[in-house]
Amino acid sequence: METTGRMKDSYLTTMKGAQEYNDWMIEFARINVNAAFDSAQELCGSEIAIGKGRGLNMRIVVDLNRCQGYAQCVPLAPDVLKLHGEEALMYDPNPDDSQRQRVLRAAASCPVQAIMVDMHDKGVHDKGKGTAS
Amino acid sequence: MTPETAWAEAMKFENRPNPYRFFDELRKTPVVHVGNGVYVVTGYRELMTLAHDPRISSDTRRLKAWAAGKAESEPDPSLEAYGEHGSIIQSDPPDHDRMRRQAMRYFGPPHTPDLIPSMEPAIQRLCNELLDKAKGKTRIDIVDEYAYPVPVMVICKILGVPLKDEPQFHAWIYDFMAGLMDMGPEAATEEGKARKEKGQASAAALKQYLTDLIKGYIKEPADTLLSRMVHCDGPDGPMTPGETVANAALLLVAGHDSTVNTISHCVLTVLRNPGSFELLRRRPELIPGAIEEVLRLQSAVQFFPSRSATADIEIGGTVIPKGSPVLLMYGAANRDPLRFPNPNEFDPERPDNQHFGWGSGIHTCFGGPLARLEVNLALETFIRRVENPRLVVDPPEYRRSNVFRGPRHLFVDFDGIREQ
Amino acid sequence: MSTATLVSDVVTSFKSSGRIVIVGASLAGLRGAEALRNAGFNGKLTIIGDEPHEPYDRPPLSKQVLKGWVPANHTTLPRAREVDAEWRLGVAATGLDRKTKTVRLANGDEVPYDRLLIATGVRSRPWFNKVEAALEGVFTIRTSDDAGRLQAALAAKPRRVLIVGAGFIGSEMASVCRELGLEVTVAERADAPLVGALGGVIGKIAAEMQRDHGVDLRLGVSVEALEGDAAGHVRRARLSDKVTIDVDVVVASLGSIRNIEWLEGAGLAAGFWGVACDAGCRAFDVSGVVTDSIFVAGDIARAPHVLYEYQFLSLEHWDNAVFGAAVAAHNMVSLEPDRRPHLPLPAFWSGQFGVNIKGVGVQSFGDEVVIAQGSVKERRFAAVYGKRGRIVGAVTFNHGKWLQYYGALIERSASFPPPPPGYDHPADMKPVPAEFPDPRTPTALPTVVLTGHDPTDRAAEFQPRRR
Repeated sequence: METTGRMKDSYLTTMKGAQEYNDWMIEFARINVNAAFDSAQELCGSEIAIGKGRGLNMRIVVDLNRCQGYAQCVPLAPDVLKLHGEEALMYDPNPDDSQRQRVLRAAASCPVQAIMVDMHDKGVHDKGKGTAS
Repeated sequence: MTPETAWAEAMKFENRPNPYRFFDELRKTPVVHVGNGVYVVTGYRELMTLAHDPRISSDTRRLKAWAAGKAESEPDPSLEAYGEHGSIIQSDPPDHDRMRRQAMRYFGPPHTPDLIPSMEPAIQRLCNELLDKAKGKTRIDIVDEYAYPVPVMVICKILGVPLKDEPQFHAWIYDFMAGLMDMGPEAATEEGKARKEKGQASAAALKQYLTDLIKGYIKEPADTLLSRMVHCDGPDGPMTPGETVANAALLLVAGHDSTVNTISHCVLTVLRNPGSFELLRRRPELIPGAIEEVLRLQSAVQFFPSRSATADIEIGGTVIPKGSPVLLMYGAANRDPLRFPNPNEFDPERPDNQHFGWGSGIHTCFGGPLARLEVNLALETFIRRVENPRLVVDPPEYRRSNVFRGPRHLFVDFDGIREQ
Repeated sequence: MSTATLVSDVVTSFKSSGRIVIVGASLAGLRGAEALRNAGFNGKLTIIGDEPHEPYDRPPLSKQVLKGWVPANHTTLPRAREVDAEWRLGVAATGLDRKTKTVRLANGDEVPYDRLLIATGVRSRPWFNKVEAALEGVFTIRTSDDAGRLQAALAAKPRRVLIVGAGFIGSEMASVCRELGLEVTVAERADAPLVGALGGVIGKIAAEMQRDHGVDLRLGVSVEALEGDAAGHVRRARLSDKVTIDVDVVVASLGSIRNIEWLEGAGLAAGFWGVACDAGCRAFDVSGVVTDSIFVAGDIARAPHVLYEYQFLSLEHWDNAVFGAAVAAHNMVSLEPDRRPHLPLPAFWSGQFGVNIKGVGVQSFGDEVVIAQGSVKERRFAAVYGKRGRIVGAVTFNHGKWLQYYGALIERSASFPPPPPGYDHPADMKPVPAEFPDPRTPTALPTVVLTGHDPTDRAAEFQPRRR
């Protein structure tokens, strides 16, 4: 196909852009998690205790295009992440915060970093959240 | 520096604590021939590509055939150590996939998702006991007194290998690693050859031990992974006894050696980077990411010499000829500056850390979740309870193997051990 | 003052004090807002969404939510960062005035913008008969509210569920029904499930999967009418082969309708396949002129793609929403030469009947298909699609770790068929015709559609294969 040359150039530019976007998104996920944890620190002190709800709700999303079914994550948070068949991942997108450390272990374990974790206090989230009209 | 020289230097025992500057040299050509027809891959993108290329085989019988065809070189004896039947690490689909499913059926999801999490209390308890033992002392060898006992206890329990035999197979595995898992120039010396012989003898002894153990399970089934592998009633049926022995050896060796090396490297890396210990103590939620960063930097399995090209493969500006052994250098690719900014820096919060510390593709570490649970608990407990730890000597003395790489001892001084 | 300085001043000034409105508060809208803030946009940001919920993820709705494991309102999306926006949730946009640059809302409010991102996505095609659609027990699934209602209906143990349409979502729902132990009939007009997306050869495998799991799969059959009882609850369905079946729940899985109605009269190139935009996400107007201040992202966008002869590609893919919104956001606060193209390599996944189906590329662009690796019998394989000797798409069934290899071949337009693997050769490695249906035959709309070269959408249609 004669488009091959053009495709390669423009595609590589896009993929670079996508990579930068990826980097940025993870960067901000990191900063965001830090911000959430800083406020969590104020609330909870310096130890994360599994099994003690602190009024935070977790939100996770798994990029199931990136996911290749390595399932390194599932045994680290089996209440939150499960396999459908031998390869398809199913998960609870808003798990209880008692699962916090397990979910963080699972997210770190993903070879393709497909798990995005965010933890927010209800209410601290966004200024100026409007009401439904 | 020629690729051959850089390769030899990277594999030399004296460079075991830090082979990375030689990998940087090698990486100037990310896929390169280093002599004897062997191709070494140190570029991140190239490794990622080859680890997912179905023309790359892991079946070590191909290497034997290729070596037999090359009059000058001897077949690699390490390959024989794994027995006539290939374990999953040295097999291709469909056999690889089938055996991995058979082994996974009673180890992890989807069929047995709760085995690994159920080990958490025992692991935590043992970590605490090991640190309790250190109370009143001021120095601990992290390798022998902390990192080693935990994975051994866990893998023996899961596999069904009697813990009382541990000193014996510990010695066999030690010999095997030192004698057959050294790809460096020292292997060709008189001493190296002697180690190799000892390694072969120990590998044979280990194989016999496991064969007898599995024969016992064939006669008398039990509630252990090895027994279930050989009695498996799932859709794939049971493994043959020969396959079970080979995979038992793999799981036993990988299940403790690599994990030990990872725990040691975690302590080493944290203490080597001032401020890290305090950071992780203040913010234990960063520990899982820190462990992955240690694996990126130190990769307990630096490479595994099983792969070869089944066709001419064009990659990284070169063509790997059909049949050539291909070494995917996980540790080297993990420091590729094209993929990881400031690659030699320890950044526990490194974003998008898609490293090769557990491999890549279908052979990604089978025991990964179990190992991570052990390392997480071991590191959490160490950080929580050890007061003012300091490295006594940096770099520490390393083990002989350049494949399964880790400190031989890791002496840490400390002021005290906190209560649980 | 040079032009470069002028341009740079405009960008700086816009970033600090411009007004951006995002219409659509789902995945694309949220990721677009985050990307805007990341790109240094510090002006006023308004996000409008017709649903009264914070942005949430839809794919779990047809799987773990329907199954009853996760509540329907439990799929709220994690935030990559704070977006500091004015959220107008639960109110629909009803009109766009490009002269005054305002968005009109259902409550009469007018929201002014300097630049606009259209991310209003799609809705489910409703059951074609309004009276029947109003029967209790007749559902479509798109929103979390839909999913909540359907989840409850399934939990009440209906005697039989009828799913109309065997696309990806319909098939996933059938799989969930079987996991719940429910009797389920799937009625599909084409001669195989997933056939619009993957062709007949792979569709045949999908049909076997369904039947092996106890689905009552009826192919080549449509549903002509639904009948209710005296209480207004659906009880029977009459099929086109004159058979009548008893059903307690009916789910219409008939594909999507792009939410373009609110753009009527605005003079944009909006039509059946969505809103046409260039490869930088800038909307076309109805004459084919690209606009300056209106951008499009997500399910509602159709944009030209160099890999597919520059045809306009209309995608209902998760990745497309995420990456498209990010590129749109970047370009909304940039001028030449800093703008970027959005050139997605289409990718999707579907978990059903114990199989992880993953795809990359545009399978339906292909004429031929070959099983490249693995075993069809075991439902673990990789299949590759070719057009005129080039690889254009691939799909894996429980073989996801190999997909990226084929993705790389697609990106390079590598020759078809691919070289054989070193092992695990399929029983039959001969390329065969892929058996995509004639696009003039009505069938479930695939989630990736090539819609021709006309930016104005006046002549846009699913292009028939040229032989």
